[in-house]
This record gives sequence, structure tokens and C-alpha cells, in this order.
Amino acid sequence: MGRRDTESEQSRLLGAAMLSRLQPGYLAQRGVSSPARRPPPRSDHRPHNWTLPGPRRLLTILALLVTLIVADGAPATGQEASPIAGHNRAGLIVRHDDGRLTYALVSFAEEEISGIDVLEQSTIPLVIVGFGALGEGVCSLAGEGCPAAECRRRVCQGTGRDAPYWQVFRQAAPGDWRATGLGASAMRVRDGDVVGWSWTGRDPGLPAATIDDVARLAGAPSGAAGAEDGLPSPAVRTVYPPGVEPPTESEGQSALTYLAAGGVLVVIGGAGAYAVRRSRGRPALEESAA
Amino acid sequence: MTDRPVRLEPRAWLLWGLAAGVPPLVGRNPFVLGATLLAVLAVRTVWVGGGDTAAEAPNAGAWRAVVRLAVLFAAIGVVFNVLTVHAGDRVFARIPDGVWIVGGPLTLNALVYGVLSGLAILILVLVGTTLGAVVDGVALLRLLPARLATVAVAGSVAWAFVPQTAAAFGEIREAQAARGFRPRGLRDLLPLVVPLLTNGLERALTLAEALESRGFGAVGPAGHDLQRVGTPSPKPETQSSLAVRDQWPAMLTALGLTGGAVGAYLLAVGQPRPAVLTLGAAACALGFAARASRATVARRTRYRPHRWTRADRLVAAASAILLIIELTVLRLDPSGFRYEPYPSLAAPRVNLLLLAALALLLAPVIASRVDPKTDPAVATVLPPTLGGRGGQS
Repeated sequence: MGRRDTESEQSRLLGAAMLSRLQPGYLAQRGVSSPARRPPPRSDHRPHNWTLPGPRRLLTILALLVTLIVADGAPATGQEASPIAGHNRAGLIVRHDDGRLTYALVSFAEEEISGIDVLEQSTIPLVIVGFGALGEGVCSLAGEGCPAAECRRRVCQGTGRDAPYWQVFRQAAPGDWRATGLGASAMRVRDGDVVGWSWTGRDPGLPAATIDDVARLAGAPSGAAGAEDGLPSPAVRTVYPPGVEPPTESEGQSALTYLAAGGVLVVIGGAGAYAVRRSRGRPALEESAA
Repeated sequence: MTDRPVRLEPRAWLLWGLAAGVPPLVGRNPFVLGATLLAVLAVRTVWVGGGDTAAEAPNAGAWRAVVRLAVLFAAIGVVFNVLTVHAGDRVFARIPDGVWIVGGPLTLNALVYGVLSGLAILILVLVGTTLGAVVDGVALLRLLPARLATVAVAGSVAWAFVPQTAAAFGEIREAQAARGFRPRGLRDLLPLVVPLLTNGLERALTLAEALESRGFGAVGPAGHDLQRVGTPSPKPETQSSLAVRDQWPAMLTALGLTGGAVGAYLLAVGQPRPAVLTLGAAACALGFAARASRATVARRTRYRPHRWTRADRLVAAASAILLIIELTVLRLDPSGFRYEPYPSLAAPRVNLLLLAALALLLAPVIASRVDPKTDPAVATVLPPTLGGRGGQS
């Protein structure tokens, strides 16, 4: 932790140094006058706008970008401590087409987060696509839905009026699920809220549950157990209705299949290369006719 | 010295193009894209010429500029996808969230999807430019009904714009280089762009004059059918009734083409039922227009109609079989075409039948080896110096 902090501090200092190099003061110290102080001579055929040489300036900007990227990856020194003692909780219920329900409890330090943040923190496998200013649309949750490429058309909804897609609901009171008009990106989730997602075209079909019910059904430990960075880890559990079996993990294809696929590619490539070579070595039509 | 094979029937090429265009259009499976790319590259090298200028198709150099542009756009697409799509489970770097649009995690999943999408675009461009270089444009125009001839001519002019402009740019650059001109920055592009613009305008005017001198878009005189020029109509018609008679097939044609475009859009956005209805209505409109225009559009004759050779049949049959297999796989096992690196990066699914069937895309390569002299359909057309009988069909 300490080492990461030191590295982060060093990278931030490096970034600051790079920034200072771009200031006119630094240029003046180096004996290079800035355009503001002394304009380029009029007689110059092609005025040179860059004070620093091109590659050097490019390298400086590149180094600055790398610094920013690295600095953001590690927690900053002296960062404000998150309110561990008073962390907030939100419940999540996901209802699938076969009736299975996934309960998740997520914790967050902020006062409020978006509906998409709740999904992302729940660790449920998720596919979302951005729709610009409209926010993000959910394509797939726990493997149910559609791929991102198809999702852009109608957010996975089929052509029928009641065709299902992932709809988000907010629980106004236990059992009173209301659709959110603004979508998950604009939805603000606060402490104690329960968010519901349902693969449906009409009614939500979500059960009534308080935040404590969700915590219990998700198997969340009491207290701050499992906390690594100050917040408890999210708890997730899926409940299957009678008659619904947990989906079996589809076994991947055998290595032999991939070997055969590689062989087919080699054959196609080889045949093409052979034909190209033969066609290049063939005498011209006119020549052969003569 | 190398040679390029004799031309194939445009319909055979179109079928091949359709079969080669399906994989990059419907999915991003790396195995399928790889097999298609290899086959298309082989066909392109044999028929268009792969850098050997002596054996190239006449306008291959101009099309090569389009391919270079496609490679550039594909590379930009990869960078854009990595910077703007932050989904996936394999994070390799992070940009601060505060950075507008690109802020967030950079994932290997986005990189893979960007590369596959770039590959798909490249394959489509390779297929299109190969067809542009090898398909006989005149023969292709003759396949269309007479009523659509004007639209087809306009389309062919538009299609030829890019290679012609690229060729003109190359000529201007060479001419300027001969004068000692060395472009160093954006400002130096002016001596290249201005002549290009002037050339383009001159070419457009010349083309317009040439089309007009050949009666492009002309209608027959009152009371006369172009089909039987010089023979007066038994019932002389008024100018207004003739104008109406000439205009409604044109309106039907415009309606049919618009309907076709709308139908294709509806199909693309997942509305099959309205799409089929719209496409059906468009086909009806075009059919009526073609039928109605028989009396008003000049009848076209052919000096030497193209005969289906053994090579044509081979390419057409292989492409048709591949299309059937592709549509069947798309229906029964769509994952054979598709691949999604989101949310987690996993090995793509392999459909061995589909992969093996993609070898049929090499049919034009094999067709190039068919000796035209042994084909009775060609022997009657080829001149005796090329081993044919020199006859005319």
C-alpha cells in the first residue's frame, strides 16, 4: 500500500514537473522566449508557432498522459478517507425469464450513486452500451439478454409489443415497483434503496423486499466483514424457483476442434498462396497462344 | 510475364461478392473472418494483381488507395473503440474518470472487438474493391432493365468517382514532382488540390456532354415510340398525354428504389415483416415500371452477348452453395458466425462446416486456371490467334 502511494506521489510530481515545463516562465529560464514576449521576426517566410521542437513537445505530452493514466490507477496519497463507519447500502433484485431471482447487496461511500453503478458493483456479469447523452442501456445481465452489437437497435427488445428486455424499477414501498422513466444512468440510488431489474415486456414480476430482506437473501455478513478497502464486498446469491435448475456451465469446445479450425485456415491460406504462385508463374495468354 | 485471366460473368462475381460479404456483415467470429480474409486476399491477388503493376487490372492502382484508406479507418476504429468502450473484464490501463468521453478503464475486450470490427470493415472494402476492379461495368449495366438504365449510369458514374479521383491525384502528384515540388505541410497541398478540383470539373463537363450526345435520358418525339423510331403511332397522342405516359414509369421507378432502401433499413433494424412488405411493394413498382417502359425506352442490342463459360458456372455454383450454407448456419447455429468479447473474454465458437465451406470462396482462383480454349462457349468467341475458332455468336 505504502509503495503504491509513493509511486503515485512520484508520478503526480512528475506530471506537475511536465506541466511546469509547458509554462512560459520555464521557457524563459531556459533562454527560450515565449511568443508573447517576443514575436517571431516578420521576415520569416513561414512563421514557426511551436516554441519547443515538435518531437520534444510530443514526448512531453505523451509523458504527461502516461503519468495521468498511472496516477489514476493507484490511490492518491493524502486522499480523503471514505466514511467507512457510515457506509451506505443498496439492494438489487434481478428477475430472469425463467423466474430465478438474484439478490445482491452493494455498499458505497458516496451519498448517492447511479443505477448503473449499483449493477457494476454487484459483480453480476453485465453488458451495457452507451447511448450518448441518453446514458447507458443494459443489454445482458448474468448471460441473459443480447450481445452489444444487437443491443444498439432496440436494447434487445424483439419486434412484438410485449417482447421482453431488461427494465429497471424502483421500489417506492415494499411490493410497489415503479418503472423509472429516465433509465438507470440518470437514476439516483441512495442508502436503503432497492433497485429491481426484470427481463420482461410488461409487469415487473419482482417480489416485495426491504433492504434487510435483500441483505439476508443475498447472504451478506453482518458488520463490515470482507472489507478490504473500507467497504464490505458485495454479496450476491441466486434463488431458483421450484422446477428450475441452475444453468450448467456450457463446456468449451475441445482442443481438437480448435486444432481442426486452425488446420482449415492453413489449408485455405496455403491453397490461396499456391494458386497465386502458379498464376504468377504462368505464361501470358497471348504468349502461350503464340 | 504474368497474365490476368479472362473476364467472368458479372452475375457470377456478384454472387461471389454476396457470399464473401455475409461473414463480416453478420458477425465477428475471428476464425470465420480469418478464413474469409485469406480467401478474398488470394482472389484479389490472382484477379486484380498484388503489387505487380505489370499484371494488374487497369484501375487496380486507384482501388488500392481505397484499401489503404480502409486500413487507416480500421486502425482509427480500433483506437476509438479502446478509448470509448469501457466494458469488459480485462482492464489493462485506466484514464481518469474526469476526462471527457474517454475517461474510464481501458480493456482488452474493447481492443479485441475493435480489431475484429476493423478486420470486418477491411474484408468488406477488399471485396468491394475487388469487384470494382474485375467486374465489367458495361456488362453489369446491361443486366438491369431498360428503365433503370439511367439510374444505373448515374450509379456507375458515382462508383467510378473514387478510383478516377485517386488516379488523377496520382498523375498530378507525379507531374508536380517532375517540376521539383516537394510537399512538406498542409499548406503545400494547395498545388495538388486545385488542379484536382479543376480536373474533376472538366471531367464532369466532358462526361455530361458525352452523355447528352448519346441521348442520355431523352424521350421520343410526340407520337413516336423510340422502340420503332420513324414509324408514326397509329393514334397520334397529345403532348400532355405523352408526358403523363412517360412520367409515371419514372415515378414508379423512383418509388421502387426508395421502397427498396426503406425495406433494407427496416430489415437492418430488425423489422422483418414490414421489411418484406416494403420490399415486395418496391419489387412490384419496379416490375410495373420495367414493363411500362418497354414502349418508351429504346431497345438495346448486343453485338456479342456474353456466354456462360465453365469458369462462370464454377464460380456461380460455388458461391450459391456457400450462400446456402451460410444462411443455414445463420439460422441453426448463429454463434458460428458471432463472437462477443463482452463481458468476458472467452474462446470463440468454431463451426467446422462453415469454416470448410468458406474455402469455396477460392472458386475464382480455380476458375482463373480453367483454360478458355477448352471451353466450347469461349472457343467460338476467341480470335484464332488465341486458339479460338474466331466465330461470332
